[in-house]
Amino acid sequence: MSQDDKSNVQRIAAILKGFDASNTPRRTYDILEDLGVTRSTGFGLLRAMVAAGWLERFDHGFLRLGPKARQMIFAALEVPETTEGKKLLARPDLSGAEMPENTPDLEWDPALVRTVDAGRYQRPAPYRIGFSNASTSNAWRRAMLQSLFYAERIAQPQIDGLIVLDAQDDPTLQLQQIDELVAKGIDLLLISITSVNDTALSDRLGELAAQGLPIVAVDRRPNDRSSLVSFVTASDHRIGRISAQWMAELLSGQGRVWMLSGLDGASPALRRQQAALAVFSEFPGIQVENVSYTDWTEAGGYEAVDRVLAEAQRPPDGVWCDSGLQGVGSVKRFLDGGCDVPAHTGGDLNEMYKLCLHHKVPMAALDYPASMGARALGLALDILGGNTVPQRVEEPVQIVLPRGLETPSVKADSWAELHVAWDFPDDAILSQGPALRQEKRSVKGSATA
Amino acid sequence: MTQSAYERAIDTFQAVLNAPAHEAHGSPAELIRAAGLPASSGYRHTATLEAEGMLRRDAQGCYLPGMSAIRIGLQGFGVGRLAPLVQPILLQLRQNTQLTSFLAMAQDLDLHMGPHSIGRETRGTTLQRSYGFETIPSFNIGEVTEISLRWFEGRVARCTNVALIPVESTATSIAVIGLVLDATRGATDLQTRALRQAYGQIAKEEV
Repeated sequence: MSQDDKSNVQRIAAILKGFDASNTPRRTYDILEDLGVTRSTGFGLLRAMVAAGWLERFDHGFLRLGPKARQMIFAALEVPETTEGKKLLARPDLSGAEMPENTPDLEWDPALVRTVDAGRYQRPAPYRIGFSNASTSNAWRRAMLQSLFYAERIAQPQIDGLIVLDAQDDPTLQLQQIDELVAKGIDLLLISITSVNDTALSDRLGELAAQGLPIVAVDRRPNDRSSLVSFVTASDHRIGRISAQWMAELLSGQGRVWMLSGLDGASPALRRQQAALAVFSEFPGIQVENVSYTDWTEAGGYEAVDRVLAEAQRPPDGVWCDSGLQGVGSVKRFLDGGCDVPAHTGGDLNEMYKLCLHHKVPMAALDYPASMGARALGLALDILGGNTVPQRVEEPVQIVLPRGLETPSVKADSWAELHVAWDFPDDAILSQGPALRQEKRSVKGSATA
Repeated sequence: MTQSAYERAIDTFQAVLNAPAHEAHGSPAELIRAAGLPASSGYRHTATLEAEGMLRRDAQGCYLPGMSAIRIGLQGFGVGRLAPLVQPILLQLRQNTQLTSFLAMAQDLDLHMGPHSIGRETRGTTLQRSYGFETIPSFNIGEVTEISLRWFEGRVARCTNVALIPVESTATSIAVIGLVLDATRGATDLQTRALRQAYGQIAKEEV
């Protein structure tokens, strides 16, 4: 009888995951030792895997991954959309291969391909993981947390406990909570930092890292990243740059634009705004008439547009928003004023898509992915499994456009008509990933210890 | 002939892992049906393999091969170090060129297709698990080569044009990053530059 309660399917996965990056042959004895099963079960399984081609014999008593295992490289990284394709191009005569000469430079972030060997953090599952969360003060942050809980449910056999503490945007409270989590014997600390400049927090993380605790930041990291094994985020630069490029091209390089940023002083808002301004500056015919801050709230967006409309006396040609969180307020103000709603940018919130599609407002959206919560937990498991992991993980940011609104250099990854969830609440964050669908039909929250 | 419990487990493992390769399945029930498994055990096995990272789900809940599965496949070729780099590099390549980007392994006259990201401009080109070269290609690491890959649809030979850049070699195979090209055009300067930059990213990376 085997010494554990794993199924043979689980054991097959464990055996295949036990080889190193170079497929160095392993002694049969070592494989069985790691597997923790009786010799009869272990040998029976290994013989069957060799016969089926998942493993191959290398030398007497040695095995390595075989041809069936190699076939696993054939893998789609995303499900391609089934749409009518090229006929939906805004300018059908302009395909990707014939992009204009002023196509923006390719963007490569070298940080994405720097890796770190997490071998020294390897330990046997199940793991106890602590998450020190900056806050749950807005819909996006709550969605990110739901995404984390979703990943916890999926990976339950590997998790002994996920302990989540909410710092309510208070660095002092977060410092206490980190020590509380450490006292509970966590194997890894996930953190979304309350204050990027807080030296006490940074110092404490540095001490814990020096003691051997792996730390992964998600969404917000401290300025000093030396204590982190990895950082899970998304590209604010891409959000700002692509949305501004779309607006400038939609307006054929001529027009008046108002900019509604998120929170004054917040680094994501600043990075998106800088990227957008850099793009607008490349179009001499685009005039940025106003830059306002909205605190990423609907009321902030509404009030900002109300104020600028009163000053300008006429609506602009486009409103660039770094998120739909304030974008909905802006759209509603134009609707309340009874005037045509100009082109908008900004996604995230389901209501932004509903409003723009219902009122046929030209829009471009790049959702800041709340699914990074799930990605962070997956990365934590990879680290504790001793794998090599990226130092920076960026969740992909999809370009979402209504049909017919592509521009020469901005093509949709997804159509807004398919992306919107009419049957979901207005405050749903669509970039939450599968957790969103799950949340609708099951209880919220986690089996937090 | 009666199957042993081990053989049945291997068949189950294989069936679940292969199911996402054929079409998108948006629920466990669809995946289990496609894998030909009974519902009684199918849900458990699907959940197990998702927990092990052999399967994952995208934002719409559709099943995809998991990152652990891709890592094992690359390890099988001895290039497991590329596993954490594959996703960011292929997604950036696809976004920059709108073409299907991929990583593949060349062995003698065969090219084994690996992880890929479907670009809208070449969406109509269905990828095959493996292709053949007309002659053994002479690859130089870091140099872009345009080449026609052969595959068979029944008895009919077909060709797919690609641009490849070899990024790493082992004793038996060469890892290449590639783009599926429009059937009527060669690679543009932008596409060639994108491939060189992808290679530059991998070459710079140090574990």
